[in-house]
Amino acid sequence: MSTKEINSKLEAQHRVDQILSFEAELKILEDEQLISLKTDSLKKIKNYHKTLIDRYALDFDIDTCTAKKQLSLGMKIVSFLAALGFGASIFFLFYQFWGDLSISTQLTILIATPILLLGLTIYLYRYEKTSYYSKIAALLSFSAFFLNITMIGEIYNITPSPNAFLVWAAFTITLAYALDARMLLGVGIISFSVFISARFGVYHGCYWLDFGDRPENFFPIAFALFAISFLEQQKYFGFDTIYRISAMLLFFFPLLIVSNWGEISYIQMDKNNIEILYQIIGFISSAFAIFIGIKKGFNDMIYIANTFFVIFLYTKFYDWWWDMMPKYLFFLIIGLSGVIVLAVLKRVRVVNATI
Amino acid sequence: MQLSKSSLRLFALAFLILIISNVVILFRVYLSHSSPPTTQITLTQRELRLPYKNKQDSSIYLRISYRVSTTDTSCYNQNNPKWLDTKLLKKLGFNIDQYRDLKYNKTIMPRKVFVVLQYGGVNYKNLLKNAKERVLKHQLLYEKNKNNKSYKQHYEDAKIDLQNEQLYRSKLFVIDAGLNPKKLRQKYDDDQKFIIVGAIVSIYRYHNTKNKKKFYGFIKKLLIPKIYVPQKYHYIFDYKTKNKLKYEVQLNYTNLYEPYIKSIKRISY
Repeated sequence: MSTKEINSKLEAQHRVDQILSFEAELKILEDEQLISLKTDSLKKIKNYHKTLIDRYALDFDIDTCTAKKQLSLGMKIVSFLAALGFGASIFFLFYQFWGDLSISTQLTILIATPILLLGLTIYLYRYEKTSYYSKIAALLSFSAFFLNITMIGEIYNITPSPNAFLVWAAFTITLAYALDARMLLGVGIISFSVFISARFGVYHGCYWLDFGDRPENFFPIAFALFAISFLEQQKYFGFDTIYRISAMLLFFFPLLIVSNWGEISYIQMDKNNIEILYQIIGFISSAFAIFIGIKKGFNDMIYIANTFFVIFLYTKFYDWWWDMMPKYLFFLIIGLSGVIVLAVLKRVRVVNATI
Repeated sequence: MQLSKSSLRLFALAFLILIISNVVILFRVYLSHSSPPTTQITLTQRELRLPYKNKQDSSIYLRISYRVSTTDTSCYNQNNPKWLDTKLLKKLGFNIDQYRDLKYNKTIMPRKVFVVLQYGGVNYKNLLKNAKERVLKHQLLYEKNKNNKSYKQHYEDAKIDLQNEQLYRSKLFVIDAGLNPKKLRQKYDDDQKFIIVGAIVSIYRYHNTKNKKKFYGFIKKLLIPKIYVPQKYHYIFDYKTKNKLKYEVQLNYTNLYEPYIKSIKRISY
């Protein structure tokens, strides 16, 4: 990868990781006396790498060693908690005091707050080397925008509508791409999923707030998100993973629910037949997802599909044997089935490694 | 960090989303509030109840209290009006025939409809009349059996029931439902007695004594069950004297069938 091609944090981090691996491997080769580079050449390489790492650290704030990586993870967790705390604080602050304000003051505050916080986000993004604070400000701006729409709705007694979720989704997804922020993308995906699922429910005759009562309402958005995860978005760190994980969860959770409570399905069929149908779909789709995950190298997909495959399996075991078997035998079967699944996966791993 | 062109465009788009969504929502409010109201009614503390104070929330809402006149004693759900029969449920979009023919259980999804709320109409007058008749009946029985504690208790209960009906219970009754609010308004054209509002209607199914499938509809909830009280009226709602508080609310409904408070007047403590 040449230096000219690098224009995102993700690419810079990959390059630095590659350099660090190269240095570690070179040291082993030298220790084993398999290779010996001339001091001049070694110095040139080291200087070149140092310059690169320094530049990337300055431009993209990447992690240049393991300790820094661990610290970065800690900072991400803390900034997430800070954003949650600030968001909740804004929410309760509004509720605590806003009833004492006149409607014009309320409207001014409601409309101005997300705009000001968005301004703060841009300011921090522009002047901050790392983007931790700008991401917190962006989440606060979303919290304020959420309150903005919700509370105007309450002041004027407006009938609740799923369209609000479309607006929140548009705002958060736009900010997620502007800031390269995965958490905002997650929030945006949740909002968009609610909007699409509610609209799908309305199309089939439900009241929109009851969209969760028909789990199949989530399937269209799950498929759409899965397709989006294959779109080219290398500039954005981990966005494809977020789309894929959301798609998997929005597919497998409703599938699990409807495979146990068939009467809430859209399908006009006896509940037992619906449950059997969805259980079969559950087994086949989770096995297929594991296969795709292995083929494409999507670890997240493999983990989620694996988990759901085992849940589908254990749910079936429970249905078949919980009442009729002694408990020690039931749990013995659970343990043995776990070992069998493990052996199968181990075999798949070996085959995959040889390929 | 250098603000790239694409980031700049995306931030500009985020600003636009904020501005446009607020403009749209406020324009919608302006249009609906400047159109002639579909209902102009005066309700009291009996129909617009003040909920308990939430210390974490300084705003005040009034909850719409409506009643359903149920005379069908075989009904499982007390929120089921007798007039909400199979014929009307079909008109509201429930595919009753399909569900009747099913040999298995199926969850039936609730539907959004419009309902008519009548203030102080024949339903209320009938209930008041029944309450008065009950008092007279139990009074006679008690006077004939002065030593019987049970008769005395029934008489006392009937008096309390009448008092509640005369002074405290809501006079607002759900009397009809439909899908077209304009048609409902034409049918119930007195906009000072009848309110047209959005509501959720649900149905449930049971087997009667002859093991035949029967359906009952019931009002699950109003789309807007509570009304926001602007700050300029907060002085009226003194929570310390909540139980004695009496007020009159001039309530209007917009052309989108959404309520707003025109004025509130305290009657007395």
